[in-house]
Amino acid sequence: MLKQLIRVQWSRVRTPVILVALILFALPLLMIRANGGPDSSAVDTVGWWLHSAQVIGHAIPILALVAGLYLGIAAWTDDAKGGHVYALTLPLPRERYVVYRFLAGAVPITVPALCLLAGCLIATASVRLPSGVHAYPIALASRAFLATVVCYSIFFAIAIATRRAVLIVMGLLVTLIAAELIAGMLHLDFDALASAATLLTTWPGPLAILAGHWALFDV
Amino acid sequence: MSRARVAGLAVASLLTLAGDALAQEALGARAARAEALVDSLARVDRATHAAALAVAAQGRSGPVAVVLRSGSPAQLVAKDVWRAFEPLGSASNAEIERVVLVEDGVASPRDSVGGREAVVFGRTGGYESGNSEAIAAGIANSAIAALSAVLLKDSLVAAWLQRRFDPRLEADAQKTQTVVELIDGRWTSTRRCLSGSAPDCAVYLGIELHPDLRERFPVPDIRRLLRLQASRGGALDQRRYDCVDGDDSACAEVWGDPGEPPAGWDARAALVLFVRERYGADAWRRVMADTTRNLGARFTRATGQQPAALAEQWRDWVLEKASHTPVTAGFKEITLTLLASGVLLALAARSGRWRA
Repeated sequence: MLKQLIRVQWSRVRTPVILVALILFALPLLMIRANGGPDSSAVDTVGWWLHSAQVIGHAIPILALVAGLYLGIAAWTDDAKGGHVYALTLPLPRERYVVYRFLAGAVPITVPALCLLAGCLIATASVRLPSGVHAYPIALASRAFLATVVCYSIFFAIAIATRRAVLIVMGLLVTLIAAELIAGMLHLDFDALASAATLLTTWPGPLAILAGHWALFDV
Repeated sequence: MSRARVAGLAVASLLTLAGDALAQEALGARAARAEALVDSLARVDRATHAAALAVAAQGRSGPVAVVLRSGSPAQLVAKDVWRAFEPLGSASNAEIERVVLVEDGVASPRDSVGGREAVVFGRTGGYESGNSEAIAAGIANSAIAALSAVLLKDSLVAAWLQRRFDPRLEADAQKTQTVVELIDGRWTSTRRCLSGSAPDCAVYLGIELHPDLRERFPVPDIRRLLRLQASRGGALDQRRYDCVDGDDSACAEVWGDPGEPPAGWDARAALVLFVRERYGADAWRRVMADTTRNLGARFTRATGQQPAALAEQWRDWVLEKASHTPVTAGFKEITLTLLASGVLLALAARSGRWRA
């Protein structure tokens, strides 16, 4: 059954996934080409490579977020269309069905991750980095994969959540914004939104993986 | 009151009295007596001495509390003690590891190391007061600042270094800024240095044996910088326009000898730190004792390294030290992913939608 779910899920999401995969494959190569290509004098390009790696690196967690969002919602599209009746009629525990759905939706993540890895490896192989400057192709691709999985998990859970759960989340968000506004009016040194964002994006926050360094080349 | 505190206060009183007394005497006599005083105090070690020298070199006045980080808080308070230590010599032999020094805003010393209200070096904020490690780092920076102050007494080194270190800055900041500057690649030697060319690193740092102004500041670089200035809306005078239009002599006139090498202050400061760390404070003493009017030659004699070799070592050191946490996907990230996914999966499995 898992195989069938994976097959159906892949046929549903393959076009956008391949598009993201191509972008991720091309990013490191574009970085090299945009700076004169591997044949140009390394004297003038090392700094550019480092600079571009930092700039382009910012695009990777954004793409991971977008891919996770899309795949997380797409994982439940078929079930949502049928009002989840099909899932409930299956002769297997719902927990196992959810795990199957999760795995079926997560498998396509490997495609963009592998494409990013391939792009990074080709880009790394095509440049000659001086001592003290390093490339991190495997770490970068692995981190992108993990970040996409985290984003996917979040949206996978949100997509199956009830209206009540969504309202609770929205309520929390509105409360934070209100707290921020009130603190501003009372001239209090309290930044609720920033505090919440920091909590989420710093270890052990679930979104910590999206923050940090994403450069292919670094010192 | 703990024994340590009693001992601390006793020593503090002794130092206060000694400091006041010493301040009344002639400079030489004060130096000798201050040194004797330092030696007589068992708990005041070489680091304390260096810390005091650091304050002295900064020309700070006012009450100074020297707090030993090891053991219970023993405080040595010496009003104007910096003055007594000033003539003792260079602070370049500072080995500050265990001492926290606080210049307090009030006369009475504090028991705790760096409370929130503590004023470090006469300033509040930005010091992470309350974190003794941070203050200790500040003291180490102070010793380096003291070294830079001593270095500025030599005209050749002063022309090269230009200004002293700010003890508020983390020493690592210089290395990070240097890497940023190397990546920025303003001058050809900057870019080539990042690419691993050792002779260009020497040119970049201004420690080459045969300085050549046009090698340090090539005309094409000057022209490119002027173009950049113009593209950003900067006004160019006629000479600068001539330079941009291809007149090399105009470029040479525009960019005369600035007195400094292509390297920015952070890169030069990083060299000061590097030489101090790799070759010891004695290397700097040898640089200072040398009367040759060529910095590269001085470095060669002081460190036994040719300028290019020294610059290459400096480059590797800077890149290594400035290396921040690279992109990681290790145990922590995998654990976080599995944990987050597991929790969210469990939530999804228990969704109320299944019960609807």
